[in-house]
Amino acid sequence: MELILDRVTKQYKNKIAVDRVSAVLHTGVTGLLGANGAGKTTLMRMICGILSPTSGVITYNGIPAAEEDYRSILGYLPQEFGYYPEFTGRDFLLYFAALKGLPGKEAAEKADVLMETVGLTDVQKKKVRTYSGGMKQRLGIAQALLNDPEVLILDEPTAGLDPMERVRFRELIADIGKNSIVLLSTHIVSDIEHIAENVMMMRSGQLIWQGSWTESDGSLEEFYLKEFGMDR
Amino acid sequence: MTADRAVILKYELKKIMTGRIAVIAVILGAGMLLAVTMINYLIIRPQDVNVYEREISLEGRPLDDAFLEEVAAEAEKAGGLSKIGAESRYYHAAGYLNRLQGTYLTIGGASAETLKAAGKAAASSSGTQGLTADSLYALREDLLEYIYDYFRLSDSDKEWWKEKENRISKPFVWHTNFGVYSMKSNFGAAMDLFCIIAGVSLAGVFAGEKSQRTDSLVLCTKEGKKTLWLIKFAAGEIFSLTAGTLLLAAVQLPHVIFNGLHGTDAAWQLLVPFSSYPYTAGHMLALLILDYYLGCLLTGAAAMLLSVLIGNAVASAGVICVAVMLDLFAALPPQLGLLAQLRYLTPGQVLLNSGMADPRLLHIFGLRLTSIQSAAVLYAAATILFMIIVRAGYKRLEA
Repeated sequence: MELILDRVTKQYKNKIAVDRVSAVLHTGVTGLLGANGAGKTTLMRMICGILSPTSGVITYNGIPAAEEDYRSILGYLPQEFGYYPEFTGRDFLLYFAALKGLPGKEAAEKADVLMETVGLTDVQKKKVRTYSGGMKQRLGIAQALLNDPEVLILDEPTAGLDPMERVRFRELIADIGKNSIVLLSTHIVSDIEHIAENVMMMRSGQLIWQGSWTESDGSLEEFYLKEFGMDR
Repeated sequence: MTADRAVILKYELKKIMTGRIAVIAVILGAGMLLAVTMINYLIIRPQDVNVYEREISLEGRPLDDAFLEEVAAEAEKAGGLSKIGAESRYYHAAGYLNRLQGTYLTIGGASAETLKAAGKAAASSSGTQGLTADSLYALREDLLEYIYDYFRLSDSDKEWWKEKENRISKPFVWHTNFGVYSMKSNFGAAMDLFCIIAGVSLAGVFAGEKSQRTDSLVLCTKEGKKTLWLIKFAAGEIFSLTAGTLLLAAVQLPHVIFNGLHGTDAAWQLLVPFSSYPYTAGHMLALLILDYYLGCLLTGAAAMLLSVLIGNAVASAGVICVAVMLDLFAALPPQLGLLAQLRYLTPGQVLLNSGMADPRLLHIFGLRLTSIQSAAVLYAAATILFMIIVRAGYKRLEA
């Protein structure tokens, strides 16, 4: 499994949102760190194939990101996403299961399992508009996992979750990372420190640092602050 | 269609049909049409009962001199043709004779009376005094000729219509038709209301994903960029046909229930005197129903086209509503040629069915098509064209 980003660039008129980012992602969790406006979300949207790069190429095992085969193995949780107010939580999952090409019976079984995983079984027949922010976030995580993605892109997945849920989802993400390529963007450095084998840091659209990070390397948070010129 | 696509269609329909605006618009629209239609039947006067039984003795009789004499005698008793009461078996026939003489007809601002005074139409007076079958049909022919000139028909188009006119048997044969007469007049109102309902209900089919911030979720799925546009389009068209059927039922069913379908075998000229379509009312109603449903599909497609191109549901709905208002009130004179002809081929205009049928013909691939035929062909072609543009617009969407 290999997700290759080759000199990926996104330019909007006079602004370069992502500037010649190159990286190779393998199975495991890769953390993506960067301040607001660093270009993380733009990069993730390009990796998901919903935003075309101005230049550069993104491929997974040789399949370009714009192709249908790639979308079949992709799971994506955007930083901000909406819902259909008249859908129940279960409707929401079944709809996205169908969009991901899951046959009816498999979709229903998968929805049951994921509702259980994210702790929404009790409210699965309630309309999504009655859900709290954290419940919606959990529903979003469930939809991203519907097709057992080989490439999972998570943009701030733990935002809005309480500390207990955050720890639970950190473990879930680490578990998924055993068999999939997971790219995890977050402001919470400790989330990445706990589960990411690799770290990428972005500033002003550029990848300023990438490499593996282990406990023996010290505090990732301090390193991050140093790299971003915010020494304490 | 695979099972998962059927599931997507089910949920796309749910999105449209559970939208508050769509539900309120359809209920209000159908309720309003039903109420307006039902007003005629809420108060049943004695003379409104058993109309068909009273008129049965006239069924199948030619509108000839003998018939006109009988109506004239009845008019004399009542004090005029238009004074014949609803309790008379000649009530509907008298109303028709009035229309056939152009009493309510205006052509380019001139009434038939003005034309008669100017000697441009046979000088038979409105009424029945001295009216013979020959003068009645001569008057109709003169008025038809004036209509053709007003619409600037070419000589060959006039000849084409005259050939159709020659196929119509004269004298006309009277068939009770108050049931279908009420029906033919209501398509336009249902169509105009449908346009507004489709505009507000379908404007969010594509634009709604962006405003609800679900576009990024949808577009990165397997079907999201592949077939979803078509499934959404199909859902929108299913909604169009459903809402269109409800509105049509609201406006037509009361007539069918209270009046029956008497008159489907009547010549179309008994309903629209200055039309030269050589068909029965039943045939023409079937064509109008076809145009109505094609108009629904076209309007639905137009609303979804705006939704995908503008990307804003409120703006898309606004454009449709403004277009409906312009269609209701903006007039283009025949001097503008093809532009004016096309302007009157909108669903609302074609289904208006006023006393004067638009005689302008559209020449396509060597064929001459009347407005009702042109509408069917153009609506189907435009719906397919809109679908192709929707596909192209959707494929370009990014989140």
